[in-house]
This record gives sequence, C-alpha cells and structure tokens, in this order.
Amino acid sequence: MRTAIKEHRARMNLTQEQLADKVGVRRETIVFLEKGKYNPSLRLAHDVATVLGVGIDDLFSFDDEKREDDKG
Amino acid sequence: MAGSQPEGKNVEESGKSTSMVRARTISVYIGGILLIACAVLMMMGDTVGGILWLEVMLGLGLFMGGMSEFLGLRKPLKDERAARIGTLAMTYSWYTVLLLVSSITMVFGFGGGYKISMTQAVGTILITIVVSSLGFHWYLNRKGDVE
Repeated sequence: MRTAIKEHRARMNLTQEQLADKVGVRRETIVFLEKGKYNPSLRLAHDVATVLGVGIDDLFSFDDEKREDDKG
Repeated sequence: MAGSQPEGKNVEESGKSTSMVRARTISVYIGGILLIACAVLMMMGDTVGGILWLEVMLGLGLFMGGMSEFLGLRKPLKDERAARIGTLAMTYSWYTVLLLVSSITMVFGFGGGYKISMTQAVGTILITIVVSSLGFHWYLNRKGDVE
C-alpha cells in the first residue's frame, strides 16, 4: 500500500502528532500509515482524508490496483 | 470529530495523551518486572510468605492497571492499531499459558515421578503471562499491523 499522507500533511503544515490528535489515534499509527505498513479502517481513512482536505482515493493506492490499471 | 478544536488545545491534549501512553507503558513494564522478580523468588523459596505476596499484588496492580490503556482499548488512549495488535498479542499469550498449564498437568500430574508445588506452578505461570504478553506485543508492534 502506498500513501500520500506525508505530502498532504506537509502541505497542511501539520506534525504527525497534530494529525494523530485530530483523527483520534496515537502518533505511531500515523507513522505506520505513512510508511504504508498499516491498513487503516474505513473510518480512520475517511477521518484522515477529511482533515487533509482530500479524497480517500488521493491518499491511498495499492500496487495491485496499478497493475490492473496497466492491463486496462 | 477533534478536527474542529482550536489548534492550541490540540497540541496541549496531544502532549497529554503522549505522556499518558508513556506513563501506562512504564506502569505495565515496571509491574511486569516486579511480577517476574516475585515469581523467581517464589520458585526459589517455594513460598509466598513475608511481604512477597504484597509485592505480587503491587506488581499485578501496576501490570493490570495500565494494561487496557497500554493496549489502546480504553479512551482517551483508544487507538485502533494498538487495539488490533494488543488483542492479538493477548490471544497468543492466553494460548501460550493454556499450553503451559496443559504441559504442567501432563508432566506433573500424570507423569507421576515429578512433583511441583503450587507456589512454583504459580510462579511459572506468572512469568509466562508477563513474558508472553509483552513479547508478543513487542513483536507485533514492530511489524506495524496484523492481518
């Protein structure tokens, strides 16, 4: 899984701690989310996207999804 | 959602929750170390006399008191990743203890030749509970997520 959370967080001038607090999780969760190591719940993905002012699609992408696009 | 709160308050609350997570983690680890130390003394001395039982109670209080927050199950430290990892770690830990109790029953119950006192059995179980729960939690936390 790839995420663009770090880029959008930098654009919003938010620290990981501030973003974590806004969406109600611990900072470590944001760290693993940004690394693409944590698969969030739909609720958390929605909350992060809302805080960063983008759609969920803009934040998360999957490697197999790209392969499907290439085939199409 | 917390996003509507003023920025200053967010930063302040964020600092508070971080220090609370740290405090609960320290509580769980100190409780765990105390329990292991007591369990070793119980196994060596084959007794829970003196003030040893008080130390066990203190260890249990510290270990169990901070556990639900440490695992992210209770507000304000609730966290879906920590809860997901924590519940799986506790499940694995419970299974390990079950295996240990089964082994103790088999070896010392039906085996006949070997004997173990209740204090030694409790000491062994205490050590296994602490080491397995913290060990599995540490391992899963390093991975970042569980499927």
